[in-house]
Amino acid sequence: MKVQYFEAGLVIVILLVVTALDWVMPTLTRRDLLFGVTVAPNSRETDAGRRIITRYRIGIIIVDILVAAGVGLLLAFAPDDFWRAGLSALIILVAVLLFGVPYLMAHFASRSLAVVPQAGERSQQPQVAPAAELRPRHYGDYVPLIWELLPLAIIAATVAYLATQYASAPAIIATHFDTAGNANAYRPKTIGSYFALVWSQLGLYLLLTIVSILMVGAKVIPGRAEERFRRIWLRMIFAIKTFLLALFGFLAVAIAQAATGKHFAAAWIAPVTIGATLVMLVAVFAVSLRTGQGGARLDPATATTTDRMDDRYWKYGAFYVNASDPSLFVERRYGVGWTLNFGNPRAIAVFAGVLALPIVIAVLSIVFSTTR
Amino acid sequence: MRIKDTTNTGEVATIELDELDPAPKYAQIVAQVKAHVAAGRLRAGMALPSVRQLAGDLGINVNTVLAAYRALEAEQVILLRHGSRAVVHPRLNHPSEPQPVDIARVRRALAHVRVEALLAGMTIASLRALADEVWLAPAQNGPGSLGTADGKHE
Repeated sequence: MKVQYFEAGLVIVILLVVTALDWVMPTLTRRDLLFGVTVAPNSRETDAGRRIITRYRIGIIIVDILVAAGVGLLLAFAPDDFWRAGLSALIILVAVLLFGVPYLMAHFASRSLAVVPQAGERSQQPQVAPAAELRPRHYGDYVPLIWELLPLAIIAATVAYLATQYASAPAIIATHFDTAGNANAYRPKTIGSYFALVWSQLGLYLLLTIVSILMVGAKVIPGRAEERFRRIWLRMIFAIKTFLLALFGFLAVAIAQAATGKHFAAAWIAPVTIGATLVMLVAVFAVSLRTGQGGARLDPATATTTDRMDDRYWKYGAFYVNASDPSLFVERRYGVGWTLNFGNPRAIAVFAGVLALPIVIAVLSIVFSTTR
Repeated sequence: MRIKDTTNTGEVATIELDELDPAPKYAQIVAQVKAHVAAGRLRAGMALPSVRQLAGDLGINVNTVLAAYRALEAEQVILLRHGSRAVVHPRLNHPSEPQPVDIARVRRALAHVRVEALLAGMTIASLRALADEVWLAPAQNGPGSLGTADGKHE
C-alpha cells in the first residue's frame, strides 16, 4: 500500500475516535456544567440546553467534513515527501484546533444559562462550604508503588538488550522504516542514536510519573466518587505509561535487529505502532465513558460541581487562572481529567517543563551522538 | 457521606469551612481538628495533610493553614516536624493529668459559655444538664474518644 493512503487512513481513524469522544463529552461532565459554564443541574434537559448541544455536535460534524476534505486534497496534490516525513500528524493537530471552534461557540451560548456571576460581576454567596479531608494523599494510595517495578523493568530490559547488540551493529544503522518495514533513513551508530528510544523511555517515564504525583495533590471534594475517579485514572495513566514503554522497547529491539540484518520485527513496526495507538485511544474513550468527569457517571447523585470554583476563574471554560488558589492541578470543567492552575507560578513551571522535555531529549541525543 | 479511608480503619475526618462564620478560617480549622481529636476520629500519631495539600483542598492561603497548625502545636494537639508531616501529638496516647495551662484554657471557654447561657436565660441546672448531654453525645464520639461515659479521662 502506498504510504500516503496508509497515513491518510490512519488520520481518518484517529479523527473518528476523537470525534466520538467529543460527541459524548457534553454528557460526561458534571450535571451542573455545560461547556465549562456553571448552570442549573437540569440544564442539559431543557430546550435551550439541548439546542446548544445539538449545534455543538453539528459543528463537530462540519469540522470532520472539512478535515476529511483537507485529507482528500492532500492525497491528490501533496508530494509523497509530505506523507513520508510524517507531516500527516499536522492534520491531527489542525483538526484538534478546529474542534475548538464548535466548543467555543457552545461555551458562549451556555453563558445564557449561567447561574453564577460571570467575570466582572461581584461574587455571591458560595455554593458550598470548602471542605477537605484530614488525610495526607500519597501516590501510593492510588497506584501501588510496587507496580512501578514493571515499567522500570521494561526500561532495564531494553537497555540490557541494546547493550548486548551494540558492538555487533554496523557503523551506519537504520533509524526509520516505511509501513512495509523497509528502512528509509539512516544515521551513524552512536550512543545517542542507538539508544534514542531509551532516552525517550526515560523521559516518558519521568514525565508521566511526575505528572501523576502532582495530580494526587489536585483538590478533591470529600464524600463523592472523586476518589474512585482519581484511582481509576491514575491507574489508567500508569497503564498507558507501561504500554508506551513496552512499545518503545519493541521498537528499539526491532531497529536493533534490523541493524544486524534481521528484518522480521521491523515489518511489524508500523502495524504495532498503529495498533497500540488505537488501543490506547479506544481505552481512554471507554474509561471516559465509564467514569465521566470527576466520577460524574460513577455516582450521578453527587455529580454536581458545587466546588466553589467560580466561573470568573475559568477562561472560556477551559483554562483555570486563579492566583489565590494554591492548587497546582484542578479538575477540568470540560473534558475528562485535570488541568493546570495557570495562575500559580509553579504550574507555569510544570507546563514549561512538559514542553521542554522533548527538547531536552533531543539535546541529550545530540550530546551523546558525539560519544562512540 | 464520608469517604472510607483505605489506609487506616474507620472514616476520614474532614474539615469544612463556613465562610459566613465570623471566626477566622484558621480558628475554624483549629476548632475542627480539636473536635476530631477529642472524638477519636484523629488518633495520636496519625499524619495530617501537608500545609500545601490542605490549603489547596480548601482553596485558602497556605499561611492560613500554617497559622492553624502552629496554633494546634502550641496547644500540643499536633506535633510539627521539620521536613516531615504534622502528626496528632503522641502525648495523646498517654494522656496525663490536666496541666494548669489546660485548665486555664477550659476555664476561659466555660466563662464564655456562662455568658452565652445567661444571655439565653438558662439556669445553672439547665446548663449542667446540657453539659452532660454534650459530653456524652454518642454521635460525636468515635472509638478512642477522649471522653467516657463517667466523665473521666482515661
